[in-house]
Parts: sequence; C-alpha cells; structure tokens
Amino acid sequence: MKRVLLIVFVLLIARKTDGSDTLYYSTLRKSIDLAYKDYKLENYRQLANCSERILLVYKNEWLPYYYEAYAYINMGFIETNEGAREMYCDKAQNLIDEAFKIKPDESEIYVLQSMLYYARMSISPMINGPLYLPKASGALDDAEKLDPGNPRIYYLRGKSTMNTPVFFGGGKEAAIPLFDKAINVYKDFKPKSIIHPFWGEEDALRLYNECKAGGT
Amino acid sequence: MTKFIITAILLFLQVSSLLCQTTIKGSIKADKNQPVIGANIYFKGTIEGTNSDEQGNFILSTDLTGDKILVASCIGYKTHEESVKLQNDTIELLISIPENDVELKEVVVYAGTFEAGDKKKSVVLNRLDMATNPIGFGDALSVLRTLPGTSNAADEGGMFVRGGEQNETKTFIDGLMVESPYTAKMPSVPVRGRFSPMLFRGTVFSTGGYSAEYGQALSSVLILNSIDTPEKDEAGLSLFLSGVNGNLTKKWEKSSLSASTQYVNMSPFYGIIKSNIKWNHEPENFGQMIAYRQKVGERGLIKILANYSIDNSSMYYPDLDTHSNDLISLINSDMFIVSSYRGAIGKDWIMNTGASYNFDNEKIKMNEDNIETRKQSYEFKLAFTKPVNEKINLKFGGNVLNKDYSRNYLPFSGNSYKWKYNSPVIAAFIESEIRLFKRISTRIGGRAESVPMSNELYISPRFSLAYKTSVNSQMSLGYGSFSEQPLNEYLAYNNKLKTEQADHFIINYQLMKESRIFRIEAYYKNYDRLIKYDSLYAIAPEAYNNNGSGYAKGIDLFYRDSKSIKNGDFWISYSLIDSKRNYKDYSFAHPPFFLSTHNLSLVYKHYISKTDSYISAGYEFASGRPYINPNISYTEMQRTKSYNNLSLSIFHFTEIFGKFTMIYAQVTNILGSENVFGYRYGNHPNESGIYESEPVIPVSRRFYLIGLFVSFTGKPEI
Repeated sequence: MKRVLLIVFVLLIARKTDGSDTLYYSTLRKSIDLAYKDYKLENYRQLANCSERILLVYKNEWLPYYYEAYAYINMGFIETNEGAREMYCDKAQNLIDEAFKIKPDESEIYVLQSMLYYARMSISPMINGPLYLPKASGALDDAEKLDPGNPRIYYLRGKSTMNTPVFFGGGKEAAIPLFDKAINVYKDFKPKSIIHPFWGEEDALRLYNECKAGGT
Repeated sequence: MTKFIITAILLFLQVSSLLCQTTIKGSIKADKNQPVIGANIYFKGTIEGTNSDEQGNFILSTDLTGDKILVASCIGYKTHEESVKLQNDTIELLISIPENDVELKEVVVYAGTFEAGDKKKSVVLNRLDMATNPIGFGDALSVLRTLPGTSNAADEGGMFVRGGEQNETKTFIDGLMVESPYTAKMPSVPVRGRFSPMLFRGTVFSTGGYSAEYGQALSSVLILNSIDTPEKDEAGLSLFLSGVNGNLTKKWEKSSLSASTQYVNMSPFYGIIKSNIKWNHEPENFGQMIAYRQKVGERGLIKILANYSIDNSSMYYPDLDTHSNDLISLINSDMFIVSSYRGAIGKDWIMNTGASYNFDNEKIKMNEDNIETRKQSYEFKLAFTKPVNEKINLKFGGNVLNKDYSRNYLPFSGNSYKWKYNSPVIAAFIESEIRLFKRISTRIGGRAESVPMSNELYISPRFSLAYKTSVNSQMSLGYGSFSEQPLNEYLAYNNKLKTEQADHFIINYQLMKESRIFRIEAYYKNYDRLIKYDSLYAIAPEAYNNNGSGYAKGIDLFYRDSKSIKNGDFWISYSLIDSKRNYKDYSFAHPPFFLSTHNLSLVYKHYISKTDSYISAGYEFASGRPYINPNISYTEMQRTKSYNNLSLSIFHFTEIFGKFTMIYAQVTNILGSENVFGYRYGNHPNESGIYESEPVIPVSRRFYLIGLFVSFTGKPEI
C-alpha cells in the first residue's frame, strides 16, 4: 500500500517536472535514504537491486553503476562469509569498470575504487593489506587530482590513517587534521543533484570527535 | 486547500491503481530448496521491482498490464526469466533458480599447478610471501622451494621438481623461455635466480602435467608474467651488507619505464664471516634491468624487459688426488631481452605474441686452462585464444626456438678443442578447455615439436580433468607426455642425441575455505631416453647415448592457514618421494644424488602491528641424501645425515627523514646445524688404498643479511 502510494506520488511529481530522469532520481534517492537509515545488509542489498534495475534501463548513466557498486562494497564490509565478501568485491569491481567507461574522469568513482581496495584488504589483512594499501591510496590521489573539492577523499584518508599503526605515521592523532580538512570541504560541498554522492559527512564528524577524545 | 487537493488526487490515484493492479506473490528457492535471500525481482525493461525476503518470499504489485517478462536475479545464481500475463489479478509463482556455475568455473585449478601472485583466488603464495621469504638466501624465487614437490638441494640452487634435475624445470617470462634463468655454477656454490620476483605480477609454478602451450621441460615449468603497468612513480634505494640497489619507475599516461641497477660484492661479508671456500676473488655481481610498457589501442599492451648481469668470482678448490688447490675463476655475462604484445582482435580473439633474445657467455679458467662457453638463443611465439562458446575455450599457436652453442677448450699447452651446435626447435600447440558438465571441466590438447638436428618429429598429448566436489573443494587428474632436448654440453659432444622423454600421471585433491588451503597430490612419472655417458670427462660422440631411464613416484601435501592465528600466517609442505634413475654415468639404477626421500618445510609469518614489523621464520628439513662411498662399495647407497635449517627474517617499517623505510635482517641456520649435502671422492686411491674424501657443505655455516630500503615516493607496492 505504502509502496503504491509512493510510486503514485513519484509519478505525480515526475509528470509535473521534467520527464523520465527525475523518475529514476527519486526512486534511487528513496533507496539510498533507506540504505542510510541503518547499516544493515538488507538495506544495502535493496540499494544494489534498485540500482541494478535502473542501470538496465538507463544504460548510459554512471550513477546507477556507482550506487550498485557502492552497495556491494558496503555489503562486503558487513558480510562475514569470506566467499560472499569476495564475490561482492568482484561484482563491485565489474560495476566500477563499467562506470569508468561511461565517465572516466569522475573523482567519485576513484573514491569508490579506493573504498573497494579497503574492502578487499579487510577480507584478509595479512595477505591483502600490503597488496591493496598502495592501490587504495593511489586511487585517492587520482581522485584528488580530478576534483580536490571532493570531501570523501579526505574522509577516507582520515579513516585509513586512523587505522594505521602509530609507528607507521598513522593513528588517531595523525588522522585529526585529515578529518578536519574533510569536515571543512564537506561544508562547501554541494551535490550536483539529489542522487550525486553525498555520503560521509556524519561519519567524518563522528570519527573526528573520536580522534579528539584520544585513547587507543 | 492545496493539501486537500493533493490528498484527494492521491487517494483517487491510489484507488484507481488498486482497481487495475496485478499482484505477484511468489517465493524463490535454489537447488536444494534453500530460500534465495535478497533476489532482485522485476519486470524486464522497467525499474519496477522488489527484493525477496529472508524466506525467499516476495510480493510485487504493478500497474503494468499485458505480457511481461519477470526477471529474478541474485548474485551467485543464474538469472531466471519467466513470461507473465498481467491482467489485474493475483499471480502465485514458485521460482527455482540454480546456483551460478560461473562461480564454480572460476576456481578450477588443474592438477600439478601452484599459482602465486596478486589474483585473489587459487593463489597459494602472494608477492609479499616472495618479498619476505625467510629462506633461500639471495635467491628470491627460492620461496617456491617451500612448496611441495620440490627437493631441497641447497648446494645446487634452482628447482629440483619431483625427482627431476634442475634443467628439467624451465622458466618462462611473458610466455618465452629463459635459457639461463640462473647464474653460472661454481663448485659447491648454489646458483641463484637472475630475476627479482618483484618484477612479476603472477607466477604459475607447475610441478607436473603442465599445459601444451609450453614444452622443452621434462618435469616442470615456472611461468612468470611481468607487471603490466606500475601503479605509480617510484624511486627507491636499497643498501645492504654486501651491496646496493637503486630503482626508478616513471609512469606516463600510456606508458611507463622502470630501471633498476644492482651491485653486490661479497668480499666485506666474507671478511667477517667464515667461508668454507677459500676465495681468490669473492663473488661480485653487477646487474641492470630495464622495463618498458606501452598501451596500444584500447586493450593492447606492449611489454619489453631487458636484463643484463655480470658475475665474477674465483676460488681455490682442493684437488683430493694431488692435495693441491686448483684455481678456478669464472666470469659470466648474461643478457636477456623479451618483448611481448597482448591485444584483442575483433570481438573475442586475443593475440599473444613475443620475441626474445638471450646471450650468455661463461669464461672459466682452471689453473692455466681456459674454457669459454657461449650460448645464444632467440625465440618467436604467436598464440591465439578464442572462446568458441560459453563452454569451450580454444587456444593455439606456435613458436620457434633457435639455440646456438659453442664451447672452446684452450689448454695452457696442447691441442685446443671446439665443440658447437646450432639447433632450432619448431613447435605448434592446440589446447581447449571444455566444460563438460556443470562441475566437470577438462583441458585437452597436444603439442607437436620438430627437432631437425636429431631428425625428430613427435606429438606430446596433454590432458587434465577437474571435478568440483563442492564450491570449496575439487579433485583433478592430469596426464601428459613431455620432451626435452638433452643438455647443451651433451649435444655439443654428440648432436645426434634424441630428446629425453617423461610421462606424468597426477591425481589431486584440494580444499580451500576461508583463507585456508589444503591440498594433496600423488603422482607417477616415467622417464625414458635419458642421457647416459661413460664418464664425466668423455668427449667422444659415441660415449653418449639415449639409453637412460628412470621413474619417480610420490605424495605431496600442502596446508596454508592465514586465519587461525590472529596476525599470523603459516604454511606447511611435505613431500615423500621414491625415485630411481639410471642415467649420466650411473652404473646401476639408484636414487639421484640430489634427492631426499622426505622433504618438509614450514614457513610462519607474523605481523606485529604495535611495532609495524613482520617476522617470518622458515624451517626446512630433508632426510639424508644418497651417495656412493667407493671405500665401502660401488653398488651400495649411503645416506648423509638429515638436513636442518631454521631461518629468521625481520622486516620493520618506519620513516627516516620523512621517507618510507624498510629495515630488514635475515639469518639462516640459527640452530647452527652442520649440514652435509654429500661427499666427493678423489679419482684414485691414495698409497693406503683409500679414496680421499671431502664433505660437500654450505659455503658458510650461517648467512646474515642486514639492509635497509628507502622509498622517496611513499610506500611502494609490494
């Protein structure tokens, strides 16, 4: 019932404004909001499915690919079964490759690529860590070259630094300026549309405060 | 008012849509009646859809009418499509979808193969394992010696696979054979690999039954694929106890260039550490490597790798008959250039082509006599891969390898001798991977080789079968016939010698789950037409023949676990082998002198996050090696005591002047075991009728390596 209502509402809005794109925008946005409500597997699974339905219809749009990959990467972090995690990462990599084909110089896709490398690392840190860490930071460097105004770059850098041993130039103390930078860039950041990536601000603030509080 | 109107419209639309709405109620199950959770259920060509719940149930209501296609898809399963007629009623559906066999397909590993590299699946060792290899001092690829199926012949170096000699394992870089992958041999000094494992993104080590794409190796192939394109610019400097190494990598949009230069001099080291060899000139080495990469078109890539090295050493080697020392000197220069191209033709053809050139010059001076050996070879290769359909993949191609060899013997006095030969080997291969059933896949092929010099044309069939017993486990069988031209030295004396032959039969079981790998493999190998000769010093052509034969059979076990111990990772290899050969100058069939019946190795690595260090320890055990003591009997085998080596490496990551720095220290044989590889005897008995002997022992009882690596461009990719 609720669903029907929403679809209808969406249809109404769609008719009022500017055509079909908006239709998928609001459907996708709804799915994104649902995913952000709670960090749960099923929430990201529905985002992955929703994005996939959209990308099968709107083949030349990079954002549905982006969100499906984004959903699978998060599922990769949440899932505990190792085989499934690898499967999600593989799937996400395919989607990222497709997204790059559509928009090769999109900073956000590089950020996502970096996040995927972190996901791979988390599966087996002993084996994958040294392999993917340089790739992950390389992807963030590329993202920065394309758009230094992308706050997610600094947020992910901060997060990575925070989880790196102190001895190796990491730790909470070292992460503070990075989160600080991220928060400032987030302030000036305006997503281009309701579905352009906008995630990370709250987490950046939360982790910033956690770092400020110190401890280990 | 507006609010009211909107609500009214909404209500109206809601009611109207309820009036003309179809509801699909269904559930989705997999093979064994397992619910499929989170499947994507939608109408094809629309974005209308829903997800299945924890029980696999779903409800999908729609305003669409008419004939539509309902799609159910879920990662890990085959996509299901079904026509539905939407006519404003309720449809009940029970969908059953099979598991996706793509997942099963991906992990097929054929018997006899070990993969190492940065791919995530079916990989046994990764590049870090090679970089932090605690054993095999100064020879990076020796980490492969910690895999089962290899014999620990630490006095020889190189790879001895399943009862096979060192030359029975061939090394390929980017598909082309490397004629001299190891440094030249000096008595009692193990050879080392010429190439750094850091150059390669993937390594396939086959301990038997390898693909028809490769030939000229009786036992095993080591397939190294160089890095496609480096991740980023790099500049690094490595300083260690006995040498220095610098490397630079520059990356452009479509191309990249890397260079590395190395100089090693063991003289300060042997100034501190006692050497069992009396050096006249301690080993000295200079090496230069250059790699260039160029992207061509959308998917094409040209790779060029050139490596040059020069080695120089000289030692006093005791002559057991005369009680004097022979002065043996060696200067070896070697150059290898390989260029390869990989690209797509049309939609689904992939072309691999390459050319290589190898030049190797070995100048040996024994007292006042000179022996100069020159090897030159080039190779061309062309191969095509094409998927015929979903289930069949075809690969075919050919190569021409030409070897030019000459050896000059220039004694201080008397006649000089010269032996030489030139031999091309022309080969063609075809191989197909076929998925017979969902869980069974096979690789079948053959290789035809023509050797004009010995007037031979033969066909070597190859066959493998893999059966996925579950998602995590599989069984495989392998069979193949393998041929190899005899060693250069033998061919130089008698160029009518036929190729040597071996047949492999392998059965394998592998279980892989959650960062744990277990595998067991049993094999039988039959050798035929091995080279026999009258004596080590025979030079007459008729002293050499193809009458040798032999067999090897055994069991290899491997277990790796990077899960059970937090921050810890270990692997254990055990090989049991029974082999006898009657070849070379053996007077009867007996186990070859390099072979231990039991070989065990254990590698443990631990990451200490507090200090950001890696500790890796390696333990090697090999049961006694066979030897013949002429003072006891010429027909009775003796065994040396067993070999033990416990080695330790520490890698510590830090920063010096703000630059990423790795400090490392390695020490071998911590326990100080007095290892003996065998004994050598004088050619003649002394006055008391006894053959004088000397044990063959390591160059040094312990080795130490301390060094640091500084990167000027941040943490390098390992």
